[in-house]
Amino acid sequence: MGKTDALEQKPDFREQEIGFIYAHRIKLIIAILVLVLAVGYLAFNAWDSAKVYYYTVSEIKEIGPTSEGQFVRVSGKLIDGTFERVENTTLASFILTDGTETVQAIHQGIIPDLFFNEHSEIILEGRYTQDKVFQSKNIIVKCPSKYVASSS
Amino acid sequence: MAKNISTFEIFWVFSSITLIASLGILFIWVPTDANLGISQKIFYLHVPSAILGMISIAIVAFLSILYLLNTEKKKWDDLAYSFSEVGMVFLTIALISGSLWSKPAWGVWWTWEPKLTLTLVLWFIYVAYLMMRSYMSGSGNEAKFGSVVALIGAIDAPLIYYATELWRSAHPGAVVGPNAESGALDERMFFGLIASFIALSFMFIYFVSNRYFLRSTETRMNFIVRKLN
Amino acid sequence: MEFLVAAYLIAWVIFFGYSFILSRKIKDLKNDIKELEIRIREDS
Repeated sequence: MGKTDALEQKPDFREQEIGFIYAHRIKLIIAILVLVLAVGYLAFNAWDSAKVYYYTVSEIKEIGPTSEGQFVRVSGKLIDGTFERVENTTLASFILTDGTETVQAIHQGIIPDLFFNEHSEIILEGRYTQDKVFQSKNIIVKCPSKYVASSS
Repeated sequence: MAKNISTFEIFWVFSSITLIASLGILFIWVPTDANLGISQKIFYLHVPSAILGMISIAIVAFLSILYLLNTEKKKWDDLAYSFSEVGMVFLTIALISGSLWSKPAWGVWWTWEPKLTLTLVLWFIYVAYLMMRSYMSGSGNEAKFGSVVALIGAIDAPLIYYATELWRSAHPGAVVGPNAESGALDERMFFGLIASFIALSFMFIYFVSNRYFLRSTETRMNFIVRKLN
Repeated sequence: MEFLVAAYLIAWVIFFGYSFILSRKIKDLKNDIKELEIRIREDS
C-alpha cells in the first residue's frame, strides 16, 4: 500500500503483466459482459417506466382500470376544497384534475407539506381500480418550475 | 524541497475565498424561496455540481479523442483520467444533494423519473470508466476502451439537460442555460447560483490540477522505472 | 432545515475526504521519487 506500482515491479514485470492479462482476459471479458448485461437490464426496466413517467388524468381515464400489481403514475392538480381526511386515520381522499377531466383518489399515509401548495402539481403512484378510484401508494409533489423570493 | 507558491496553492486560496464569499451571499443576501422554503438553498449546491459533473464527461471524451489521434501525447490521457475522477466526485455530490432535496420537496428520496435515471446512468458510466481503467491498466488498450465509455457519457450529458423537455419529468424545467425559460429564476437567486458556480468551479480546477499532477508524475515515474529495468 | 444542513455537510465531507486522499497519495509519490533517486544514485 502507498507504493507506486512501478517500484514494486520486478525487472521482468512487463512479461509477467502480459502473461497475466492473457490468462485473465476471458474471465475479465465474462465479468464485464455480465456487468453490462445486468446494468443494461436494470436500465431498460427503469427506463421503461421513466420514459412515460406519468399519465395525465385524461389519459388514465382512457386507459381505464389497471390490472392488479401494475403500478402507474398519474399527474394533476388538487381541486381546492376536495381534500378530506377520514377521522382519526391517515386515510385521505381528494380529487385531481388536468383541466379537462377529474379523478377521485385516496391515499393512505403521510402527505408532504407542499401537497397543498396551489402551484404544485401532484404525481400519484398506485393503481387505478375498477370503481374508478385511484388508490395512491406514494405521493410525489412536482414543484413549481419557477423560483421566486418569498415576500416576507 | 523548495518552498515556492505552486499553482495548486493559488487555486486553493481562490476556491477558499470564493466559497466563503458564496456561502455568505447565499445565506445572507439571497432570498428564501416562496414555495419551497429554506430547503431550496440545496439548489446552489445541487445545480453547479451537476453541471460540473456533466461538463466533465464531455471534457473526458474530448481529451480521449485528442489522445487517440496522437498516442505519443500521454498528457491528454492523464488529463482525461483526472477529469473523470473529479467529475465523478461532483456528480456524486449532485446525486446525494438531489436526494436530500427531493425528500422535503417531492416527498420521496428517489423516483425513476427520466432526469434522475439518466443521471444515475451517467454515474455508472463514470464508475465503468474508472473501473475499466484500473483493471486494464498496463494493457495498452485502457485509453481506447475508456474513450468509448466516455463518449457514451458525453451523449448522455445533454440528454440529462434536456430531459425535462424531451420526456415527462418530476424535475422543474431548466432554469439556466439555453433551455431556460426567462423569469424562471429570481434575479438575486441567479446571482447566488453564479457565485456558487464560480466557487465550486475553482474547487473543481483545484482538484483536477492536483489529480493531474499526481497522475502525470506517476506516468513519468513508471516510464523511468521501465527504462531502468 | 435538517436536509439543508445534511446536504452541505455531506458535500464538505466528500470534498475534504477527496482532498485528503489526494494529498496523501501525493505525499506517497514524493517518497517514492526520493527512493527512486537514491536507487539511481546507488546504481550509477
